[in-house]
Amino acid sequence: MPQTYSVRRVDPTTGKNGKVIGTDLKVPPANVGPRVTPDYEQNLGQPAIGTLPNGGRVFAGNRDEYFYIDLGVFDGLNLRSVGETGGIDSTKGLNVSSIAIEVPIQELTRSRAVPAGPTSPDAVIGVWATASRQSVKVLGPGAPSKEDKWKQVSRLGNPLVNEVVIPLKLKDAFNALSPENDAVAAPFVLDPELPKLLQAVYGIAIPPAPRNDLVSIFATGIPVNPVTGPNYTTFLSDGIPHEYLRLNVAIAPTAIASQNRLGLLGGDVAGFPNGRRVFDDVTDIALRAVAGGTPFTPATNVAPNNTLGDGVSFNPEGPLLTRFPYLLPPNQGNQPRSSNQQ
Amino acid sequence: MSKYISLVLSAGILSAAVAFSSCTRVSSTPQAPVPEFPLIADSEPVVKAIKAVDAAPQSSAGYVQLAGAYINTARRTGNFYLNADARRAVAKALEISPQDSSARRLKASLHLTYHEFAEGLKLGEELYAEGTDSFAMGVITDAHTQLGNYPQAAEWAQKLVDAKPNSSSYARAALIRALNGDNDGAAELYKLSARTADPADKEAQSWTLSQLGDLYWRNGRYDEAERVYDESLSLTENYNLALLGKGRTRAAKGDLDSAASLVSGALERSPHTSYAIILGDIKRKQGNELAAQKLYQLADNASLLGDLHDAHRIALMLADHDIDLDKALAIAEADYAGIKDIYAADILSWCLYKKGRFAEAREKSREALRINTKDAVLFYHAGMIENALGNHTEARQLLRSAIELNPAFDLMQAETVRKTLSAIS
Repeated sequence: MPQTYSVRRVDPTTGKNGKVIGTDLKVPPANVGPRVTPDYEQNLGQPAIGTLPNGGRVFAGNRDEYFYIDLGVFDGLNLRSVGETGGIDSTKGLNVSSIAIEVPIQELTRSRAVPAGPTSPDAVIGVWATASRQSVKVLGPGAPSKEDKWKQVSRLGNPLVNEVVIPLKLKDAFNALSPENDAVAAPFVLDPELPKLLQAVYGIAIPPAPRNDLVSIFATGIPVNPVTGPNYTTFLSDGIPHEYLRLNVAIAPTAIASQNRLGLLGGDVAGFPNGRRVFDDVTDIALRAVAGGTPFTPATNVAPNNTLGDGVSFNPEGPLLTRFPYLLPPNQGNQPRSSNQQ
Repeated sequence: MSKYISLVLSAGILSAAVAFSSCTRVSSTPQAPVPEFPLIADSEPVVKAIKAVDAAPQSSAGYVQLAGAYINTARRTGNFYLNADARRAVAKALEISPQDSSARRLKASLHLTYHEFAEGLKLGEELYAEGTDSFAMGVITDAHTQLGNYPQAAEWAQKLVDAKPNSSSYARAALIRALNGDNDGAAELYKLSARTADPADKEAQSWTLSQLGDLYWRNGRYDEAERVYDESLSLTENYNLALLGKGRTRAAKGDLDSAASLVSGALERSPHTSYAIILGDIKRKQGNELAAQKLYQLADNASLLGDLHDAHRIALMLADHDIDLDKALAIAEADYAGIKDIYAADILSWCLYKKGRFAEAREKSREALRINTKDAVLFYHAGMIENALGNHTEARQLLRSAIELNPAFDLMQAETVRKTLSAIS
């Protein structure tokens, strides 16, 4: 049975429950293989792109997992490499349930207009996504039907913030929080555990606490600086830090051929942490950031701090598509996944 | 070693008992240095963790990873003794970093593994006070369940599933539902738990499915039970909980040969008291009394089974088979003094019954039925006690409930139910 979904828009005029702007949108079936699902992308992938009344486009379904990482980095820093090569992509050959949505800029900014330029006060937006599940009634009376109330179990703005900054005992709490309540996590951004682990395992010097550089990256946005000029991604809607992904929508995208996987650290101002392109090597960037290998902490912006990496620098399945939804079609299911877990 | 050999039944069980007590601890030659932590060649996580320890022996992170790897390997393979290595790795981590949250979580979890429920509860509460962590909530829920604090267990399970609805919290909700008498609701929750398990964690899926299988078995739904045990086995080869469950189900359906081979497989991998007793019952039913006796002796020999002995189950066996009723009662009383869960109360009631102390037996049996658990064993014991007290109507009702719920709840005792029922009908 085909799966369908709807899209709901929530803004100050719609109230909390929002307004449904797309219904009965189709999820393409899984890519079984050339006999069952021949010419997958042409026959099933592309036709599943939905359109919205505001001119936006939307896609939900399986795609190749473009994110590339050697997961050893979170396995007790069990890395095959701490450089730019020599790692193995742990997500090679995997698909991931993906949602892609394209929205006109003026529907996202505070001014409800396209900002005049990167320094306009309405140029930076904050973005995060959440996932929720239904709770159940432990005891009767009645069957253990799922409760109507959905419980947020995951939340993501900046990539890797949970892995890099939030301590184990607060991961569940952080995942259930809305950014408006982030103050509880602030002390851990100022003095996170991972850099100390890097120091213990690899013997590198790290910047001392308080890590105000990390507060900028994760919770307030990158301030005025010589590389990007004024108002790069600083966005403090209410004057206090919140963890979300910040995007300056008035900075023009970099053409695919010229993009640098290290984003801002590679001199590409349209890349992470100005938003996060699927292409960006957020693992290497985050490792360098926590080790202080960035211009914010000049004393530690030296090798190996500013050359750390998991040794995986691209998606082995190839470059992104040049059209929506940009993510590559899913790998077909009749091929055994190549062994890449070593 | 010879006293062990005289007790064991087959080469398979011999090798299991000896191998499990030696492979993780003893080096090949007396001169060779004993490695601090055993390298489990077929467990990639253990191999990786040992590398991590070697790379940074001054950091607790590697030891935490190693402890986790041992625990997971113990679960997957049924080699319970790896938990002892996990404990030593946790101790190392805490020596380096006494406040390490990950190490303390594993320590709490291992307390429960070793039935140190009060200690587990205490550490779980400490961890929860430091951060509303679902892992700590799970430990607290499990400890309350095992200690027989059922209202608290239900309260924490609800708090847990509200905070983090996921496979493991759904499974805890399922167990509490089942204990409180809603077996159908529990089955639904186990299914939900299986559907939401991490697809990469095969053992977790196998575990949930084996719990669902056990629930079906307890309700006499043998075909459904076997189906989910098979699914569990297809995800984790030779998964001991599913081997045991499937064997028990086959025995219930009268296929004693395949039952014996499945339960032997489970016992070889994981020499638990209860597995030896179940296999003993199957052997007795097959007419192999010598084999049965040896298995019962194996079960009774706590020193041979080491960490895997289960006081509950030994007391029940001694009472069921009228082997040594004083010893059975002493074990049951000591057990009940420590924990007040329904099964401790039930087994104490059964041992009291066997000693002819019927009024006290009834008191404990009512305690065992206090949360309306639908389990044939509980009904059987309650029914026999009522019968001994001359309350035939109640006895009939309880014994019928036992046999209707799970006609083969115990290969030996189910026959007693039928005989007693025909005698009082």
